[in-house]
Amino acid sequence: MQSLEEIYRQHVHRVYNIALNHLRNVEDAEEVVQDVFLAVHEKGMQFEGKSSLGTWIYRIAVNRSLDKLKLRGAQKRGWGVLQYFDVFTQWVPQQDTEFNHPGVALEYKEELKQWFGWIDCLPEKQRTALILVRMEGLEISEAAQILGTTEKAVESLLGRARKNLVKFSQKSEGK
Amino acid sequence: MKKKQEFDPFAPANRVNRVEVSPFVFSRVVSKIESKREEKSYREELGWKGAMLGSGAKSVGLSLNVTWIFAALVVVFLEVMVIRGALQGPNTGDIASAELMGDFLNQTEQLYDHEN
Repeated sequence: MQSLEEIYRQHVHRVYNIALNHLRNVEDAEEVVQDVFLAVHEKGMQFEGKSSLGTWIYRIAVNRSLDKLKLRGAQKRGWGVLQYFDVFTQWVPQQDTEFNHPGVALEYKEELKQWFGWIDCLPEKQRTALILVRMEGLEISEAAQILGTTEKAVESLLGRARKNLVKFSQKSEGK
Repeated sequence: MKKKQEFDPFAPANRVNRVEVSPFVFSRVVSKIESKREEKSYREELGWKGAMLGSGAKSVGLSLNVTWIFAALVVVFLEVMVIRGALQGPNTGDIASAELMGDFLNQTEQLYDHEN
């Protein structure tokens, strides 16, 4: 059986990049990495071996990233007030998360900031399919396993994401 | 005829480079695991009391939340009472007191009449 360190070395790179492409913030992505491997350590016994270990870990990474995005969205919408009831225990002051993606070169920063803005407008599954297949270079079959769907569904998600992105770009050109 | 180049909305993905994670992240994961393990073994050492302590800590957090919600409800209730009072106006009180005084005066008068 592999040790946690071995599993970490093997998968951290992809986990980090999945989180970073979802969140575009180094601190948040590092937090997701910690959460993911903590979950792997704690729930390792629950891994049933139905999928590969990598797929299972990347699925956790996707879910944690989406949870963090939802939390960020909720805080932006002012639902952070609800967290006030967790007073003195978990309340964290709201911060505007900056675009902080170390994988984006300075000359492309503005262009990619806009592009990522469009990606944020995509439905959750389309966004994740795009990140997994086009940015992480995963096979469609692997992305399908991570998303818990079929290969055809992933292809269709990518098709719809493409159409939506074209729409967004046309809208922004029309402005 | 020259065909207009089609816009590929996925093309910007190729300009995003893959990034290495900070080497300190793993040590943070390990320290989190260790602190959780220590917490667990501390509870086990304390045995039953430890378990109670653990559940007590949770219930303290829960009761804190309940207290805040209760306090908020009380504030809302008081606000409603104040608003309702303000909407009814100051006359209601006067009428009540006038009737009360009226009864009292009547009774006094009756007593006076009775005695005389």
